[in-house]
Amino acid sequence: MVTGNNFLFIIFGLVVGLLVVSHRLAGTNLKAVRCTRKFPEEIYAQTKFNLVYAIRSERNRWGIFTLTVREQAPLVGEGDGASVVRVRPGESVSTASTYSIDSRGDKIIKSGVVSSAFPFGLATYFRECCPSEPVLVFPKIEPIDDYVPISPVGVGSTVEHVGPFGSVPYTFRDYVPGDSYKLIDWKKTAQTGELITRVLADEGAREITIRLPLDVSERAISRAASLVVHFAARGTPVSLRGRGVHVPAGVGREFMLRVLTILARWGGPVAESPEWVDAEGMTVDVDVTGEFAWGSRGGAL
Amino acid sequence: MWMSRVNSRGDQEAAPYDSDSLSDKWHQDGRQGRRPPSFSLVAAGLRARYFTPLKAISMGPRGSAKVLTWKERVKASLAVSRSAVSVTYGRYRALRWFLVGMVTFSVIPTALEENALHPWLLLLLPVAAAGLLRPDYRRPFFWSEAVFTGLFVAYVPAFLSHLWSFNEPLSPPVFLVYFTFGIMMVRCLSPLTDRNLAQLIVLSAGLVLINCINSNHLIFGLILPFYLFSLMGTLVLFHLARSAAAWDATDHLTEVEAAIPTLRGRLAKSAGFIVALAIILFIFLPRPFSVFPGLRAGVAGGARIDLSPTVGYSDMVTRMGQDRIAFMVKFEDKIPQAPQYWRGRVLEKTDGKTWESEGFRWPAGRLIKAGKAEEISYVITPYRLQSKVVYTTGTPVRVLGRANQVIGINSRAEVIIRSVHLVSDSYSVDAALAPVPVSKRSEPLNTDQTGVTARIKELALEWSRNANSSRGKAEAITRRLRTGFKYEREVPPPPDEVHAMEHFLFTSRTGNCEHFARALALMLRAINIPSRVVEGFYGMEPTSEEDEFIVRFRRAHAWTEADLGDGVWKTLDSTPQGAFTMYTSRLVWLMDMYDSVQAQWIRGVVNFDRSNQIVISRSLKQLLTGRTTIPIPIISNLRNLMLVIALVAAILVLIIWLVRRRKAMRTDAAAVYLATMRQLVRLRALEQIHPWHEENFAEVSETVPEAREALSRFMDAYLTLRFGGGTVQSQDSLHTARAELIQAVSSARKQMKAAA
Repeated sequence: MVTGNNFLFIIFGLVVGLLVVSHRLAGTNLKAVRCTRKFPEEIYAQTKFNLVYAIRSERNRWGIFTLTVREQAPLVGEGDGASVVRVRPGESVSTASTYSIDSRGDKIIKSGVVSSAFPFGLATYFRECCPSEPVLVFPKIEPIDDYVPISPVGVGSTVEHVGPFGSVPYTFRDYVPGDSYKLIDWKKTAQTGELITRVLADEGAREITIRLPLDVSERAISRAASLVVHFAARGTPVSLRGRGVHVPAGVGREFMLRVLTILARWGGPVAESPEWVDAEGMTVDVDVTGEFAWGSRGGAL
Repeated sequence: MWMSRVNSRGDQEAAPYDSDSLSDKWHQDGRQGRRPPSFSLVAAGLRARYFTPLKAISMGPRGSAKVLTWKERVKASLAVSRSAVSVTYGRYRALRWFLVGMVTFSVIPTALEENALHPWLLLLLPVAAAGLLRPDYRRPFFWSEAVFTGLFVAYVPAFLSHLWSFNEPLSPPVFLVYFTFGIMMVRCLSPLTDRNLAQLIVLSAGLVLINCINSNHLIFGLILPFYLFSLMGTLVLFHLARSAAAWDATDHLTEVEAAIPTLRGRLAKSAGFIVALAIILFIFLPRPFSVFPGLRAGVAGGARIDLSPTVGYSDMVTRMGQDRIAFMVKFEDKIPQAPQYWRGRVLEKTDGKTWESEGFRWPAGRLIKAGKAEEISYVITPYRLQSKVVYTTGTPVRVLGRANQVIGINSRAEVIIRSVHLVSDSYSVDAALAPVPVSKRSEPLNTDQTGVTARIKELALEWSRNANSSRGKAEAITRRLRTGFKYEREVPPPPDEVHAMEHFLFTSRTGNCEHFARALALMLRAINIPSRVVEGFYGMEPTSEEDEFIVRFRRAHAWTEADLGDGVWKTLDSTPQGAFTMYTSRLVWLMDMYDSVQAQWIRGVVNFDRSNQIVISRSLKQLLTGRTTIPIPIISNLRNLMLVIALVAAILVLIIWLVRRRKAMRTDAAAVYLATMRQLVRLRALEQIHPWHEENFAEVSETVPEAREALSRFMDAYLTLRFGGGTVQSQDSLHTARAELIQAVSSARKQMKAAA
């Protein structure tokens, strides 16, 4: 018996075939994606950074088409993520997208998601990429040039050396780990028996001690971190004191990162209340609101 | 340096990203050739063994800062801009050609039928193609969009009035075809924004869908795969164009265009797969038990049968094409020797001008004494003759239609299909080679004197005055008509005020079969001999098969049947001899081939139904269970045969897979080698790529001696993979060696430049 228009059955078969082909091509397209992401060395809270992706096409004779990589929380990005139109077979392409993380501390960055609407743009396929990885987010950094006073010369344990032609732009202080060996004044060292560093005045002449209160706030931590970065950029020795924490003075990038790491993870279990010893050099107390209180010598809190 | 600004309130302000950050520094390190530092935080879980940044695409943040949900992302991917034109000026040539193909293949099938798009409208296709091939899609083609819209507004009433004026049926599918065609033309010639282009794609698909309801034409079926290929190409390239435009990746248009040949091959293979899958689904998808509402079966030529019209003699001699095959006959046992009359409609009622069938008559419900007669069996397959009448020779005893259902035979021995469920691609007929018995019910009609004028009666009496019996009188009149008149296939109609038969008998004395048959019938009725006119065909032509014969339209014929008193309808043919001139055109073989293919198409596709599926499933079942009558001299058990076939097929698949894998590896190795040499040229380590590996090796070694070791490792890896027993791991080794080579050459060149 005649059962209707057979051409509609043909069209139905063609549509099913089209869907199958679309699914297959999209799966092949995504399967060939090998994506790695690279975080910058320093990530600061609420600060944009470039997350760079390396997208490679593997085991695919045709390459990858119209790929978009997006991230999940805690990464917050602008726009729709990083996109690439084509990656040739066996080749790599790098692309980047801007993200930020709201808060400091140890974060687990979840897997990214690659998506593509290839081949026909009628459906978007997704796949996870880049396994989840831990990332340490430093506290938020602010410019604090306006908040750093000009300290008088001779404050702290520095000695101003006066040359024959008047004041010279350098002075002596105790050696701090991180000081360059070229700056060690060996004559003074031999005299005093301790390593003495000769530094230019106003640069590294002061040792800054940053003190944080017991009930430190996020803003205080952020401001403290800003201080660390500010002085580290100028080569000024910085030490950190807070509840259960005493980081002796140091300079250099590695030291800065170490301190920032401590500040990033600030908020752990409280040890017994510290006994403040007299700090050498300048002190800056960061209160709960993040305001600075500068002093020449430290005292017990 | 690397942070956002803070205002006087201590709040962070959004600021453009500073490029002096460490991440960019790392990127610069990569560009200088140094391997980027591995960070402990990001190194864990890395899948790639190495990373070499080759290209960087500048991406800029856009849109809102909101993170989209997956639904919003899907919606965004499907959303098409109303004003954006993603097809860049002068680029995406392949997309334009795919568009032309898509539009052409969707429009042409709509003009295949008589009740569909008028063929003259196809003259607009070149204009549409020119519009689609123009380089700048932002501008309209020749005139503005408003002008084209105005033309469309004028076009709608024009085609409506055309359809009504020609009394063509204005069914919704026909209206939709015309309407959609008009909109498509407007879109092709207007600025092709993304929205308009998407509309064009949807309209073409809609046109194809409508045509599925309207037509089952063979050419439409053959065009579908090409339309599918064009549609897929259009969708893919449109998606790429939109993505490139949305992501500002204009510098990658070259990449996309370079990938088009590869994509074309993939799409062609995919189209083949889709067609194969569609065929499998078409065969095995269960058919419903009844006809879809509003749909009817299609028949040859693609038109839908509606069982209302019948094809008369005049239609067959004027419209059908004389040399086309009307139907094919295959005799199952005996082949009649004498030329056969193929009876169609029996015309008994006349008003003096026209002859028509009396109307529906129930199939004969009582046995008719036929006497001794030779029996024949044959199968009739209509080719281009699609009618509700089944043409038979002899007196049909049994006629079977679709699924071997019995078709009723009336007392006039007419076989008329009265149900769409009985329509078939072929009909099985059992007949007796004997005249049709006379039914008493038809006698009053067959002696009706309507149309018999005094002159006709006088002439009939004059011609038959020398005969005493009805037979003698009939033969006399037949002889006079056959010898005293002239045959012409196409005769000009007589004046309106003149009696048509008198004009033929007394004035023109020229006519075709119809004239002779009607004249004889009238004259016999005038002398009270029951008679009637029968339309059909006469004779048949042999084919390459011994038991198969074809009947062409030029064999359309009309004759007279008369009751001469012996209880049967005697066939009387008053048409002069030589009426059938067998001139055929030179291309008749081509037309016959097309008609044969179309008949197969009708049988295999248009009329494919549950009965066919039942036959196929039974055959498969027999094949799988081994119970079959297929003679296999060597292997008696079909199950073993199937196992052998499966094993051979598996081995073949494995061999093909291994060969393709090996080929892919070698191709990949060659591509990597060439890409490396190109990069060395860019780094000035090589002046040009030489055809011999040794030359390239020598030149690079001489130019950059520090990279010799890395070059040796690269060449070892390449040669191993390409010509040796390379494995998939060798691919990674090759890429690693390549990265090291590039790095070594880059650093060496930098040092040389610094030293200089």
